[in-house]
Order: sequence, then structure tokens, then C-alpha cells
Amino acid sequence: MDTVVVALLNGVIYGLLLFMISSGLTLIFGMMGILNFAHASFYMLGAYLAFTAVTIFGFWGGILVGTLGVALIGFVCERYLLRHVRSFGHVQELLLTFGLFFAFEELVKLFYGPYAVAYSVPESLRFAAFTIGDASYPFFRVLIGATAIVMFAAIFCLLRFTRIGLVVRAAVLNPDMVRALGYNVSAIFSAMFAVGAGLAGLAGAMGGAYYTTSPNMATELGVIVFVVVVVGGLGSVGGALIASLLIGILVNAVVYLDVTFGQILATIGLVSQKTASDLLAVPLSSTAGVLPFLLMLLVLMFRPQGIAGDDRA
Amino acid sequence: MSDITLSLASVAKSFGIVRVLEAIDLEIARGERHALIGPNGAGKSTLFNLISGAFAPTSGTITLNGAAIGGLVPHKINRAGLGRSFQITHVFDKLTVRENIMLSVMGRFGKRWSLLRRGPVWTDIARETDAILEGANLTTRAHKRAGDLAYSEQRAVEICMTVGTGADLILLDEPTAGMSREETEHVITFIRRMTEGRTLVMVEHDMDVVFNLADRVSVLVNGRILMTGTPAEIRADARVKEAYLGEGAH
Repeated sequence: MDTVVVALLNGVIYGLLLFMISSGLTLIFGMMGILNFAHASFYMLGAYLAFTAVTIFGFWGGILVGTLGVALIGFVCERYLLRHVRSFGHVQELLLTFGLFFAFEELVKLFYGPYAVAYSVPESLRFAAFTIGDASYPFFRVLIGATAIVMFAAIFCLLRFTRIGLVVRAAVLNPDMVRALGYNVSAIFSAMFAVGAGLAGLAGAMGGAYYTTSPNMATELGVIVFVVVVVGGLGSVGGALIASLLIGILVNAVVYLDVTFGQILATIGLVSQKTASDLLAVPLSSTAGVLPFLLMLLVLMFRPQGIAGDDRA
Repeated sequence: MSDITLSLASVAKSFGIVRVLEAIDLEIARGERHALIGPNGAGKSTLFNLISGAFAPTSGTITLNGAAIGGLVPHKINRAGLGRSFQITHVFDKLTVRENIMLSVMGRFGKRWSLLRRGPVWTDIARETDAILEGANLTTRAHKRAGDLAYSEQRAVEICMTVGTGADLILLDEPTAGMSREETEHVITFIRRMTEGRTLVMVEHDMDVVFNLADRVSVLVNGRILMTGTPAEIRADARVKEAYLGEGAH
């Protein structure tokens, strides 16, 4: 029972981390139609920037530098690179971000080497937030989850209750009309891109410390983040939240379930016990890597617009 | 301010080697209601897009209220005094009618980037928004999502938005497209009322609308203005009949 609770909590927190990254991606797609391949690179850059700044500014300063630094990088990418190819269409934008993805990865390898760096949660933050049964639950994990929740609340309030949020929501729905009403949509786009990148940077600065900071982290997470955005519905922040949690919990749950396929099939009487323990002794946890894609496949088959997407996408 | 609101001098537009518009000269007087007609592919929409800043003209000058606007970005042209609607309805379907109109009024009061709504200017914005809603008989619809309104009401909201920015030149792209006869008549009355005291340029296919609403009409054929005149003159002209009315009038 305790392990189930721990698995659930881990799933929720991993999901919330996924959400921190995917919310920016889905917002940018919703507003600008750009499927930003380099978005997970912002996550990686956040971790590396924070890792670098930690020695100078301390852990919290590092997190701040990671967030703001990546926001700035995002702004520069939008203002000085993406904007120039915008008139050529979305394919060119996609190719550009695809190129950025590799450029960032190689740059990181160039400066920090191909292996993981020793970026970790400082000793002072390594304590248990609470204990479940025998297991103590690390405080920093809870902090990651709490940050994501605060962030979601902040985005939600900004978009829902402020005047500037009204302008942004309008620009997502119809940028041409917002332009025609005298708003500088390009400036809104740059700002949104910077905010989205900054959120990914924050996720990287926190997630990188807890998990690992390596040049592969963009590749590893990038695919999952795209799955989240597709499952949630392109452009929907609420959908991204649901999909992130769903994938986080699903992946973590099967890892903790100590059963094999054979046992499941034998229990419902489809195969004999012998077959179950010989041929089908594949543990359910080995499907953890496949599950997100299976989920995406099912969503694309039965609800192509995603959980909370509308028919536009 | 002069008596000319919008003036186009030798305006041309090419896309690659295709010349869509050549040497357009047009002057539109303050308070005039001007209609652009012409067969499909004549360049009406391109001309609209040049005036509103979606494209930059290849050559020639466009002047709005005495200021050159050719090649400026759309939001700057809007701030110079131009409001436009689109061929396909461009209301923000998931926002309420009131929010739609407020967005346009906020721009006029220079409150494009406010986080909160404090201070007397927001009282003015709210009052102006409600006045537009009232004037358009949309008060009962104020808190409905714009996307849930009937099509003709959505077009009315869009026209309110072009007016709400404080623009004195209004461009309407086929405001009655896809409407029933009854809705069309309603919208004509509505346009006339809402654009009172402003200058109006519209693209319209429905000849009844054109002859009913416009003071002057320009006929665009193959990227050139064939003629400009009063509805009666246009109706009587043989070349126009041949180029357009003969085949195009339904």
C-alpha cells in the first residue's frame, strides 16, 4: 500500500515537471503555430545554466539564472531567428527549431563534455518532507511539484483575470484580428516565447538538480513532452496538465507494479501457469517506456484533437 | 485635416512575376461610403490587404489622413486611424461579446498592456464598451461567447470592433457574405448607423448592397480601376456591364 502511494506521488510530481515544460510548448504552439522542436533544449539549457551559476550565486541564485537566462535565450531565438523565417511558413520555422535543437546539444557537449555533470540538490535541502510507512519522501521532490502548481496557478490567473491576459487569449484565437485592433502581436509573441522558454528553463534548473543533467536530457524528455502536447491537445494548457499527470502516473505506476504479463494473462485464465512463468515472464514495468506512445496512439485513433483540444488543430 | 481620408497614388503590387495590381489611383473623401466591386481575382482583396498593411505595396504611395502608411505593419496602420473587418468572420469566438469589444476600445485608450483594471480610464473604457453594445443592440448578448452568436450577430460584433478602436476609416471585406436577404438588410442598416460620420470602404459582391449603401463605386478589373462613379453611373456604364455585371450579378 505504501509503495502504491509513493508511486502515485512520484508519478504526480514527474507529471508536474513534464507539465512545466509542456505548458510553454503548447502555449507557443497555440499562439504562433510553431511546433518548437528546441523546446526541450530550453529545459537542458536551464539545467546547465543553473549548474554553472550555482558556484557563483548559490543554489537559489542558480535556479533564478537558469530561468531568466533561458527566457532571454528564448527571446533572442524568437526575435532574431524565428521571426525572419515566419513569412516562409511553419515548415521553415519547424526546421529552424530542429536545427536549434542540435546546435544547443552540441554546444553543451562542447563546453561540458558528453557526460552528465555533477549538478545536484545541495545537502541543506536533502531532507525528508514526510514519511510514508518506512519510506521517507524527499523534500525537493515536493518542491518541484509545488513550483509547478504555483506556476500553473500564476499562468491561469494571468490569462484569465488580467487585461493583458485577455489580449493574449485573443491573440491565440486570432492574431490577425488582434493586429487589426492596433496591438503589436509580434511583441506579444516574443514575450510569450520568452515566458515559455523561461518555464522550461525553470523546470530544467530544478529537474536537472534532482534527476540528471546531461546532454541527453533534451532528447530524452523532448519526445515525451511532444507526446504530452499531442495527448493533451495542441494549444491547450489544461489538456497539457491532464496529459502530463496521466503519463507521469502511468509510467511510475507500472514500474512499481511487480507483476509480469504472464501472471496477468494466467490470472484471467488465458494461458497456463507454465507458459506464464516461461515464455511470458516479461515484467509489466518494461513497458514503461512504451506506455506514453501507446497512449498517444490511442488518443490519435479515438480523439485526434487530444483530450482538451478543439477541432482547429 | 484635409477632405481626403484615404488616397492611393500609382499603387502596384506583384507577387513574384505576377502583377496583381497596377497603377491604382484612388481618392476617398471624408465621410464617403465607397464600394469596391469587380470579378473574382480582380485584386480587391489584395488592395484591401495593402491598405491595411498585411502586404507592402511593390510601388506607389498610400496616404491615410495625410500620413504615408504604405508598407507599415498592421497595428501601426490601425493606430493611424484604420479599422478593418475580414472576409471570414474574425471575432474571438471563445471570448464574450463584451470582451471582444473591450479589446478594441482598450487600444483606443492606450491601455494595451495593462495588468489590472484600475483608475478612471477603465471607467471610460467600460462606459464606451457598453455604449457600443447598446448602440448595436447587443447588450443582452454582452456575456455570451461570441462564437455562440448567430452568424449575422457575429458580423455585427466585428463591425463594432472596427469602430471601437476609434478608427475613422473603416474597411469592410464582404460584410454581408453568406447572409439571407433579411439578415443582409439588417446589416446594411447597421453598417450605415455604426459608420455614421466615418469613412467607409468595402468590398462587396451583392449589387443590391452596393447600390443601396455606397456613395461612390470603383470597379476593379484585372488589377486596374475600370471606372469610379456614383452607383447610377456604374449601373449605366456599358464597359462595367460587360466586364462584371453581365456575368457576375446574381
